[in-house]
Amino acid sequence: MKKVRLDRRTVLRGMGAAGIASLALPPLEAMFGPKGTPYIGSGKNAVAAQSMPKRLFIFHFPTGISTDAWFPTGTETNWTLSTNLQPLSPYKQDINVLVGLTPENGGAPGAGDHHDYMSVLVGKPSALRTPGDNWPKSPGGISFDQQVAKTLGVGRKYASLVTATYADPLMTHSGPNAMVPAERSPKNLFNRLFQDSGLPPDQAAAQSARMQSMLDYVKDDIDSLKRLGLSSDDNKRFDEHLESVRALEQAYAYVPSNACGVPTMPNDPTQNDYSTYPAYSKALIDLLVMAMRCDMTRVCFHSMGFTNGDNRYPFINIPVGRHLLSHSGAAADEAELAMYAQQAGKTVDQYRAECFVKTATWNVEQFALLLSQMKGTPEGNGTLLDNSAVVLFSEFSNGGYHQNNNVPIVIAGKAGGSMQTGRLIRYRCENSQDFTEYGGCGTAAGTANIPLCNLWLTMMNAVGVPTSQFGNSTGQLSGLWT
Amino acid sequence: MQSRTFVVLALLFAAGCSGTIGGGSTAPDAPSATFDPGPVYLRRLTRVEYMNSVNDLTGVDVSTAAQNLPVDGDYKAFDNQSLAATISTLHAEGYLAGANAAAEQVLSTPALKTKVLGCDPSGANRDTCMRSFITTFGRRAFRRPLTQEEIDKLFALQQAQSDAAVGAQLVLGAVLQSPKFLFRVEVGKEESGRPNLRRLTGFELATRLAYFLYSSTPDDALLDAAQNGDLDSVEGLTAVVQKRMNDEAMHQRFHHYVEQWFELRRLETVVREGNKYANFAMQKASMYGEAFKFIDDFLWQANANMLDVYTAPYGYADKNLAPLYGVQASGTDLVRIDWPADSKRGGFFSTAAAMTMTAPGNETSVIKRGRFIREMVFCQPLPSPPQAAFDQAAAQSSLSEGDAVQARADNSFCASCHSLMDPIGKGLDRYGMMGELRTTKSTGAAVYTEGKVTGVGAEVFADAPSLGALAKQDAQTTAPCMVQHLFRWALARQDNADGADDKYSLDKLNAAFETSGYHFGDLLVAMATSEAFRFRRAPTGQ
Repeated sequence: MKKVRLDRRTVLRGMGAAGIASLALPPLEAMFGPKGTPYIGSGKNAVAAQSMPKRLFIFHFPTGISTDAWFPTGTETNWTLSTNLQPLSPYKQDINVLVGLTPENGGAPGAGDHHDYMSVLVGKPSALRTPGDNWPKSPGGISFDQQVAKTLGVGRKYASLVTATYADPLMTHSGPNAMVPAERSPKNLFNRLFQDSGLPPDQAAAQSARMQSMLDYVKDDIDSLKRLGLSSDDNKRFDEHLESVRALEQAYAYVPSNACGVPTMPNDPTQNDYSTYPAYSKALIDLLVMAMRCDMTRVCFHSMGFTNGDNRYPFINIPVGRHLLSHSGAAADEAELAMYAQQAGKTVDQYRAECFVKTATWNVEQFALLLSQMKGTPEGNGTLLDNSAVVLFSEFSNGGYHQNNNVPIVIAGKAGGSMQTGRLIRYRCENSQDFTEYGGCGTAAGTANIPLCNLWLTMMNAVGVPTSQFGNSTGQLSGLWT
Repeated sequence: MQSRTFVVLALLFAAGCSGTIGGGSTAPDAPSATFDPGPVYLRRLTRVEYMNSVNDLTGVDVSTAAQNLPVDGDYKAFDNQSLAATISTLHAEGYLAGANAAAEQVLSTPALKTKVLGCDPSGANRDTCMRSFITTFGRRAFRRPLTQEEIDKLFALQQAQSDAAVGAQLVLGAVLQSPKFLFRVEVGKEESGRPNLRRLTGFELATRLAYFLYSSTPDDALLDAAQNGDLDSVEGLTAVVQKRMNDEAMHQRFHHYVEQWFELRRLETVVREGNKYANFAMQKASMYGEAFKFIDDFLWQANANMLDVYTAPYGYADKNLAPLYGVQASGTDLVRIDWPADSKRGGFFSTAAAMTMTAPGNETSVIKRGRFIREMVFCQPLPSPPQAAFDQAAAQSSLSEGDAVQARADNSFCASCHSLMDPIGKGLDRYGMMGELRTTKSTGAAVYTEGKVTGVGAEVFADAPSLGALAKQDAQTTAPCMVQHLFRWALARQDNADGADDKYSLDKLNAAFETSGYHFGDLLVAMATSEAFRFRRAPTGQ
């Protein structure tokens, strides 16, 4: 019995060999000129056409911070890194710390439930959300990373990659009631990006043709269902299915650059063995950077976990999950905390607060790892970081209070242009001289918080997706990317 | 296709104005003219439904091959709520992996090949065999007979392959990725005099029934029943559902609903470390085993009263659970233990499963146990804590648990919610981290020995069985709560959504449940024969 495999490895090679797109492409940096400008034509006719591709990287960590440990002190150009930001000291001149931006949180100014923050990248709460409804997976629209992916994703293996350590933060959405789930397996991500069957070209080509015939059949079935005359809501799901099949085709049709290289396949974490999680997190970040380097994607979202998930950090000797650390008075783990506090010669509250700060710093360390890799990836005349807009953020400021005025934000990268970095930038409340660092701008007219969506809007424009309004944005932030 | 649809719809709308189609009279089992069965959001198979369906269709377990298929999140406690059932690139990749794995394994395993294809497609017999395979397998996978056009299309797909086995494999792979398999498409039939409604076809009802009871695709017998018209009348539908009541396979599959209804899935995420819990993984498995076995008694035994699940004075134990319960049981089989009257044991609330899953941290919590009872048993949902609650919690953080409980009771702001939770949890405080009886907590503090269910009957109770007795006495609240959970599960949506006449449906179901003496099987029949189950809203907004 002849066995037939129709899997990715087969097809990857098959696509190339089948002559569907048989060009063996050079590595990305070789496609572009010394100043990041690609050549069109050849020899004397070569002309610089466009700049290096722009990328977007969003890095999320859950459950907020202690404001005292996060926000730096000083002036815009003369400031000191805070406790939490110490891991960024090698990159102080590559980043800007932003103070005073506030996400749309589903209607409750200043605070709300954890679940309100599923719309943090959307800026629009769900029309379906009712008071007391802690079901958040239905923000009122698309998240800005997915919006950007519609433009930057064209021709890439994946329009975007969404990954998470610990648990899916449920933050990325392709539209209302259409969450984009996060990839949590490094192994699977590796396979999606790099797996190759090693089959001889003719067999591989036959395989890919067979797979395409299956997918053509599926697309035709979707089409026939859309002609049934069902409701618009039904047809929306059919459209999502069609999109997902097209994304699959796009991934399979993509021809990787031969010189891009294949990293070693990482291990998956052991479930509930949190000691393996630093390696887990690093494996995902490594693969994302590799995918960007190889131009397999230009939009990445990585999260360090779900806002009230059980994110534990035993590798830095912290036995209690970050969510419980954020809330003083959480009875369930009091006994264990008390035991550890006693061992450390501290009160429970002191101990809890210290642990919460330490876990924030650890998350910043993971972001520093990302920056180091992006900065260490030469591209054209600069680095991958130079061609990217990068943001680190959390959905809360003071986590224990579910406070969202002034969430923690660090941005980096020049998005292929320039940005004056090394600054501490404070945004004042609209029409007011107040800073918003400690508490919100209030609800009185003319004292609105500056929406976090203003940053998302600015980033969309910075990476080449011209947009005039996004979510609850009121305008672009000035003085960032140019 | 397009034009035919328009003609049908045009007729329907025209008929709506005159009140009848073709002069036919209203069917006896049709709902009233104003009845609105509520919104229908297209249902994608959940991860669990997908795995079960592929397994039932092909005999192949694809839980490893398709392991990266995203897990469906809980929408209000259930994983099947259609509003949230999106489909993404990761889904498409998972379906491809699952379809390929199933197809490959079927064609390379002689027994499966014979079972799924039903004939040998090699040689001269190829065309005949393929047509019969496509017709039979297509009907099972799409849960309705295929049109000639559909058969021809699949036939053409395999015809392009010189090797018949490869062709059959392609058909399997394509069908298992088709939206006609992955989505539960309900078109329905026009209903005389009811332009806002569509009556589900027998096949569509068979599909609803199968995913309601089995979390899987309908088997051949159910599809045959649909084909024979057995599901076209309330009487026929009743008979078909009743025939399934003693099906062990259904009882097993129904556990997927039970573990969501009773929140047993919380057990999965409970982690216990240290020597004291060296045997925890085994104990957890036994806890699941006992809970399912115990609950099954009230679901399926003849003449059982479902409310007895809260009170029945017995349980089950094996060697893993025996030490927790302080009883003798040395084997791996769960044996029945009858609890003496003074044992503080009886009903679901004193099971090791219930007490462990409501103590996920490192000490028990009166809040978590109270919330569980209030929401699962009484269907009185509690809001998420507001910011001010955390301010208060911070202010109380130096208090002992006992003082904090008192402080939440004394402070009117805290008490507005916590009076609904904490007093219930106090009455279950005598059960430890795994349901074992105790007199003190890990802090050395004495346990609470009395609880109160504010607003329910005599309110005060001493232990799990007496809490169960309160729950059973308050059948006016707790029985409709059981109905509400089931309604949300059966229809894969929330009740009272978007203009639906759910009060009408729920009132009828509650009456039927009460009349039956709270016999669960009768509730299932009432659900399956309800107008909300048998009809869908006519499509709007194409």
